[in-house]
Amino acid sequence: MAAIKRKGAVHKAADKTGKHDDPPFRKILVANRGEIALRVILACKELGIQTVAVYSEADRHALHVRFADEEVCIGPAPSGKSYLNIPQVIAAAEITGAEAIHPGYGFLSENPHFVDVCQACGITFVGPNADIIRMMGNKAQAKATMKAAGVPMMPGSDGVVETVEEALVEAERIGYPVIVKASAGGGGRGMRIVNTPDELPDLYNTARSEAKAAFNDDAVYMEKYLLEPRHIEVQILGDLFGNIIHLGERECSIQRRHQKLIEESPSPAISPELRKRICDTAVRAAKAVGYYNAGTIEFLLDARGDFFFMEMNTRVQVEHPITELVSGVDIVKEQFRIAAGRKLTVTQDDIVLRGHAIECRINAEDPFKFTPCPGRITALNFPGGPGIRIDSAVYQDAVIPPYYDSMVAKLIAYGSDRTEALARMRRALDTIIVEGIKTTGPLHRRIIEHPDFVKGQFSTKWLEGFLEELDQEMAKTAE
Amino acid sequence: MSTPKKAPRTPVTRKTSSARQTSPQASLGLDDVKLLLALVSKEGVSEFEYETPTIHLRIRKDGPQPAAQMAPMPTAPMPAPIYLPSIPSPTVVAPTVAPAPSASAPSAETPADEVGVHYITSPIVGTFYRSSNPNSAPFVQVGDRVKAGQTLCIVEAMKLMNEIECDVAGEVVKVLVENGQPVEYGERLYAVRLG
Repeated sequence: MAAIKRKGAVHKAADKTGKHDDPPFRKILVANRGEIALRVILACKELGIQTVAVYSEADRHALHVRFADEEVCIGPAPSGKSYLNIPQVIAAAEITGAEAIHPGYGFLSENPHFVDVCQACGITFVGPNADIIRMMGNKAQAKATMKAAGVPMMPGSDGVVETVEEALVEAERIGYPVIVKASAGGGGRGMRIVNTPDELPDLYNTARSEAKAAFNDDAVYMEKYLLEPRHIEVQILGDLFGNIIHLGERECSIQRRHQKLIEESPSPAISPELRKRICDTAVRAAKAVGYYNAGTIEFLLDARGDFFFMEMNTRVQVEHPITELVSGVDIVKEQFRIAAGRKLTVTQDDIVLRGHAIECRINAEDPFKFTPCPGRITALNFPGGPGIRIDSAVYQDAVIPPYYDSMVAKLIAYGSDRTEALARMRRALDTIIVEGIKTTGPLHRRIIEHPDFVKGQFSTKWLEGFLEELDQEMAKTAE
Repeated sequence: MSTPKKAPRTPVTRKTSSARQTSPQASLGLDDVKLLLALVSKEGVSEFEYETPTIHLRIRKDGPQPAAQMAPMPTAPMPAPIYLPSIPSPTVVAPTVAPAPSASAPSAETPADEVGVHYITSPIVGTFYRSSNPNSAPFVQVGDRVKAGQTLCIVEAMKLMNEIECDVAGEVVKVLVENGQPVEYGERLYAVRLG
């Protein structure tokens, strides 16, 4: 009678020969939706953990609801009233007797208050503690902590630059080119790139006037300007015993407005020496804050091989599968073991990074205008074959609701080297079919065959330039 | 789930006197439908039905969502349902003779809604209690008259006792959840006959 259905599948650990450990938890709740909720449920099925799905009224027919052992509707479609509603999520854990909550990414995953509430209610949060999340969520505090741990910071002025004279001195110290940015700013306004001391006074003053006009605050600061920066991030795993390891880096430079489109591991721009330096730095940074569970440290890497701390993400990342493929470690399963107070199953010496993995995020968006395109999927074919992994929660006739993110599928290709991984990605993109909605698939196909991408020569600014090229190309065809 | 289509629908509360009329005029334009919707919204009418040999139109306010919406993996091809973000009342049921059978809808036990019966649903997730403590009598029993604002039950969540109030006036005809059972958001707790 009760709508909270118990499907009653009693799991046994996948293998009772003693090779696999006992389940770290008996029952957990997944406080998320879409592909990541499903990813977590799959890990639980392998570990022998019972799962509880929570869902909004818009997700009644979602796969994470279908494949969980129990399900609880927690509210109407808007996420503020369902997936972000802390009392509802906690109550769902209480009535089902879930011992732990996996937050996935987004939603409540980096909300320190939620972690506090979980603790107060005696529920284990699968992630680091609230203090670490709070510290890393505050940009200034995160930077200060990382600087103290000896992590390289982007050279810049410590605070507001008050006069032209001061700006000249600071720029000399930082090294040209520098960028003047509005303290209150964002969106490119109140921002000027300065290449030489001659042009500094004028550009500095323009930046201030623009900041004043845009934000009613003319305070500006200065930072080193990187010409061709790459977004490189390092995957970290730590347990409660102070063991911290890295699983190599991910290259995430193909992005638009800070939204990643394609990620790969390893980065085609990193030598073994640089890899060691950047990964060791990440481990040191994680140790400095007493980090545990899965986390990611993001850096900007310049053309000379210098790298600078950007931020730390205290959760599982969207692009974690590429790391799983090259490292052989199941990150989500490790998260549960760590949360249950167990030691990491691997040491740094056990980790051998092998082969190459690439991920394309297939979103329900116009591939060239990026306007969201929710709707019903009328036909669906997911590619398979050697080296292809798809993390997705859609099915034929599924409806992509307009209330949440536009992720349709993560298409991941693995090969013994980058060439093979790229060839597999190409044929996978040629055979993926998603009809009824527009997806970014065609754009991915264009990117991966571009000579710059094939050679591995791109920065975080590359995609913008390529999109302009495409615009011109389309304008020409239209003529 | 075989819900036999109910024979002639029983008249609805405050139904307009000439709701079911037979007219030889067979065509009904978009403007006519708009006009009808406006009329139904304005008047205190909860359901309006209109039938001719060629047309069958039903307009219902605050009724259940049309079965076509969000039907999971339909088993047979049906006229491509349009994706409707849950639009509140009034809802127009398209002029199909029988409402599309909702394929394996998971809400298998939801009874066909009886006309004139209002369901009190849980606004939160928690544990359902019919009384304020184990030793006292239930807030309401089947057969009790209730009015809007009256406490019907308690749903406990995160150690807080949340009193759930009735939002209509009428008679309690059924208690749908047992005392001490967990309930989810939107789960039906009581059936109340309006009036």
